[in-house]
Amino acid sequence: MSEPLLNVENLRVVFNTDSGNVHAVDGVSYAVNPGSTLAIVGESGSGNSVAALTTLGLTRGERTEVSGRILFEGRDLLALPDRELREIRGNEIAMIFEDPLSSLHPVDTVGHQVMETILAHRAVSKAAARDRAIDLLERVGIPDSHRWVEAYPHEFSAGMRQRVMIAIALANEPKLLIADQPTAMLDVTAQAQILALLEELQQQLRMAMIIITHDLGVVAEMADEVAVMYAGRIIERGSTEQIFAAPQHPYTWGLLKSVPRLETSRSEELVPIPGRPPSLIDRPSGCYFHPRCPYVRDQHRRVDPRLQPVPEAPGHVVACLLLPPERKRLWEGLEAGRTPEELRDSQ
Amino acid sequence: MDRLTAEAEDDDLQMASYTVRRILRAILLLVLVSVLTYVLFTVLPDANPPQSVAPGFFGYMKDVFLHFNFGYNHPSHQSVLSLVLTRLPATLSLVAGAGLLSVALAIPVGVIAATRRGTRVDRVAMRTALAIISMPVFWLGLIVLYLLASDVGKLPILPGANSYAGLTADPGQWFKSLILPWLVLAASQAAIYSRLLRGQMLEVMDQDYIRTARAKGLSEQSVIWRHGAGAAVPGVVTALGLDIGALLGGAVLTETVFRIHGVGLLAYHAVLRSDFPIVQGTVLLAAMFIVVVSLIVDIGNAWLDPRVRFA
Amino acid sequence: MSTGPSQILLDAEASGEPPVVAFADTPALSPDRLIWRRLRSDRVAVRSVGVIILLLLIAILAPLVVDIFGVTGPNVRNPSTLNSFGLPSGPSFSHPFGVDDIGRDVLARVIYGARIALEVGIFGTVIAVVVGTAIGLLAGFYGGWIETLLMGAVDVLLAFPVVLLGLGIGDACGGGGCAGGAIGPGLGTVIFIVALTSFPYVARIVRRRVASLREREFVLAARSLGASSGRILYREIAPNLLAPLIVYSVLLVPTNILLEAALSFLHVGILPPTADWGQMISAAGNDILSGNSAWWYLVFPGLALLFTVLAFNLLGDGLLGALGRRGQTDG
Repeated sequence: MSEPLLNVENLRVVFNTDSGNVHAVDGVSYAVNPGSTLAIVGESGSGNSVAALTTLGLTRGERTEVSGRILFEGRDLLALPDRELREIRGNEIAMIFEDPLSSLHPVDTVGHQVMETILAHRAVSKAAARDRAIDLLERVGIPDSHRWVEAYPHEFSAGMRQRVMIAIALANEPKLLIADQPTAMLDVTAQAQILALLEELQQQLRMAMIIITHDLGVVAEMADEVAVMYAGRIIERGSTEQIFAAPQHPYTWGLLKSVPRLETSRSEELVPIPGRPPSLIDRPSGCYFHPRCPYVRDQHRRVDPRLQPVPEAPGHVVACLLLPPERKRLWEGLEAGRTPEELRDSQ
Repeated sequence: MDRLTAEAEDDDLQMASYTVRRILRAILLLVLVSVLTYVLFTVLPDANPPQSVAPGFFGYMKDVFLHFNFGYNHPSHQSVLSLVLTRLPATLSLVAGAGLLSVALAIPVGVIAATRRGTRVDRVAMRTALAIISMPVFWLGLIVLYLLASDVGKLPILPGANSYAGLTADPGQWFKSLILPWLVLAASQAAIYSRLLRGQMLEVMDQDYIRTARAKGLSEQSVIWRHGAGAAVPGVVTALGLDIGALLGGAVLTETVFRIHGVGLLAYHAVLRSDFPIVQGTVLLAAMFIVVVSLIVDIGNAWLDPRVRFA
Repeated sequence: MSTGPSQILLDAEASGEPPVVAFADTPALSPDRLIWRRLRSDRVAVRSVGVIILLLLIAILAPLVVDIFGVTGPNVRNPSTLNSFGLPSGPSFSHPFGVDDIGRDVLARVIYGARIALEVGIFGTVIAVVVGTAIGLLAGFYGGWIETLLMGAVDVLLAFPVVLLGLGIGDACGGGGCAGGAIGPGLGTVIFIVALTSFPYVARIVRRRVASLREREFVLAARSLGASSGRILYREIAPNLLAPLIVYSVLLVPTNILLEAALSFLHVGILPPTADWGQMISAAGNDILSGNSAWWYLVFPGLALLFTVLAFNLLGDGLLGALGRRGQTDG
């Protein structure tokens, strides 16, 4: 097992706002190996983006408390001064964002925006940077890129803009790419194309990737490992096969069951997860998920579950107070088409 | 399917079409402005005996547009237009210098106040700006003269009122005499624009593309000035260009205080003497000037920011 | 000073959207109450309201205030205060603000000057808002050629530099009045100029708001339920206009007060012997430039102007902040 490229240890991020302290990330740990892909799954407001942004130091501010360690190739990114962190951003670790239209500078040509990244980290001439930019745009699938290099972002379609973002991110061949909901603003076709492009580039550059998403389809296609976040914590983590074949946490079940899959039988109902994500200022007692969990017991309101390994599944951990045999039964019941209410009442 | 938008192909066509549309609109505005001037100065006042409006109106329009005749000042045997033209350099000196100075002042103040939002620097800067905005520019001018004018001031260091000389006549004096007027007029304009710019900067710095710039690893200076200010400043400069009426108003008052023989002082003296043609002609010329300047600013803006061309 | 729209007006015009208050976790308060609450907690804004009320009282009760201070009236000349050269005396016990060049007590004149400033500022603004709102409503709601016509007229007016236009109209109407006597010389003319030059901004903002609201879902919903245009205007659109209009009006007042002072300074506004701040500054200016260093009747009217205008500007800033859009001063 090779040394992980990125090792997040017990990361905590708290924003001090006028309404109270927002515990966006509450003791999160994960690792990414070189060349592999980790998906961080969770609803909006679960802190998944914040963890990623903190990796690049993009959440630093006066009213932000960050603790823990983020080890990148052995260096703790959280301890680095801004100057050194800047050398890593856009260079060894790059990021692409959800909305390519607002994330690209509106009054700057696309080519120049790519060139900027190159010139910030490589001592090359402008002409050389421009050539490379044209190359990159071609590589991400923008045809006739020597013409498009002078165009402005608003002249492109959404999918093309995302390609430009990818070109910017990959300009300096980073070791790690963080993609924050890269396909959320795209239609289905563009989505497929962008994912395929990312996969291809990842192979070519042997790059590690962290994809933040709440689309399980994206997870299934791209990820090697999955971390499911809820209310600022990781509540389940494992390989993609483990998570899809034998998910352990009721929240994960809810996510899987709320999305139609090809195997879903016609009579089976889609079951959305009831309720709303909890406030990150005032979190529920005990298990954070207990207010929305169909199988909640009394004890769950008082005890805070820690991540425990799943028996016979190396590398698979879950934070749930239900016992493994119980969970197995419930999941198998859900797979067989029973509803959570039925299963709960039949205990 | 990813489609590259067709509009991207005819960049120049867009620009040309926008330019033509804007010019046509400006021409229409020039005509309408003349009509309104006529209404305000000839139809509205009771002092003039009620004459039939039509012949006077059409004669007037012919005069303005065909003969460029904006009135005649009988005592001095000069046309209004030539009078204005002789006074124009002084006003331009004042306005151009003050305009540039105000931008030079407003940009650092606005950007720094925004990046140091909430700190003492920010609060002091914005409160000072608000105080300057709340005082009449002519009062500020008089106070400055009272304190610093070489002839009447308490601390005589700079030439006071009535010391203006033309640029070609005496460059040194021209410059020295304009220092106080420039400072006064620029201060009052800069106060407005630094506040505007601060607001714009705060909005811009919140935008996603600033986050992208940071994620690229660019230096904070580059992010603030190139990306942040680069996006915020043009909007404010455009506002300045479009609000040139306010700048002209301030110029009129400054000329009156400092006795600079520009177009503003011309109009002021004409009012004191009840010299009607000059007043009317000056107002009309000023309005036409503003229409033309707005046209140039709009076209320049469209050239710089392509998104505007689709308006 | 701005003789056109102040920066805050430009800023207010630029945004067209109502603010979004997003506090998912706090109990829902209706937007109005939230704004009210925020406004009340803004100390500067509250103090400004206090100052404005005080100024209004002083203006309305001017004769009483003059008596309280025990100074002579605004038009009373006191020859004893002028020395042998005819030069006025400065601040003293009997004349706290000194006297002007012909012996009139400056404090009294400053107090009475508040009347003019506030009358013109407030009435002129009210007229401008009423006219501008009417035009903006019609143009924004009906669109089409009505909009083109009305907004075209507004654009034409906006092409004129405010001070010069005021100078011209003041000259034209200063002699014998305008519009068949409806606009008298002096106060009437000044109010006319103020209203004429400010209503276009109101019309623009209102039109933009109405035009954007017209397309919004709740209006389309009301229409589909068969509501008439009038009803829609009244129930759906008007309430959304109230808040920005109030803010804009508050911000227009200081601009108009300054415009009035500028017009008087240029001798086309309120004419002597009526006490008027702009006029006082003009007279003081003349004297100072001829070497007479009687600073008190330059400084005090100017401070009065500064104080008054600042109060309205601070209140306007506070209102902008309470509406959710950060004003240009954060606390």
